[in-house]
Amino acid sequence: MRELLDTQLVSIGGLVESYTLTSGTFKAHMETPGREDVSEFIIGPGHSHAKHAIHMPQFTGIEPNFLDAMDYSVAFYPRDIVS
Amino acid sequence: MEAMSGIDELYDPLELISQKPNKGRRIKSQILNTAVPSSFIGEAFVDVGDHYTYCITSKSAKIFGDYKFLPNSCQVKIKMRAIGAFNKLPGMPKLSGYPQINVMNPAVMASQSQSKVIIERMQENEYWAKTRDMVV
Repeated sequence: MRELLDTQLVSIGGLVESYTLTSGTFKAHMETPGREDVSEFIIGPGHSHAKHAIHMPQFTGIEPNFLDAMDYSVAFYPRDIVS
Repeated sequence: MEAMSGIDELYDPLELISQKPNKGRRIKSQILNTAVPSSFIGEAFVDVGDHYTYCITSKSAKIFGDYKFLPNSCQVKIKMRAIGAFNKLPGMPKLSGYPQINVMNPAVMASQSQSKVIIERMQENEYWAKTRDMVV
């Protein structure tokens, strides 16, 4: 999949500034019939799992040029517009 | 930053775990650099630049070396670093500054290559290694 998408990048003459292959959750990476599910959570240092865990985050794997592409083509900064 | 994120440290450097199982066990891994919702500030870490922990768990006990982890505990512990906190980002509806997003599956972004580290760490457990083989 990545080999196919890389050929379309602007940096090598294609049409696409960037792309992102979303990973979803690690639960999805480990899901197969008959096997035990996994779950995931985020916790801060020293926090109690029972009270402070942030459950089921959506983990997204981004390409190295993703944030640059956001800067140039999608995100804008109202403060930078002078007139 | 990825090149400077490798860690190679003792799992229990102060030897606090009783009976010292796996004494001298080292964790060779990476600190994952992540972009997170700014709603994590004050909840998972104090400010951008801080570390927080990403845990993988399951409903049964899991064994890693001589360590046996309880069900629903932090069975695979990944050290993360928040390198950016966003209030909003186009195309990422789960990144938000509102704290309510913390209970609605907030998004965490890291580079693809660093994401693989978590899967590799999980495969240190035989059961999960076999599961991964079946998935792939």
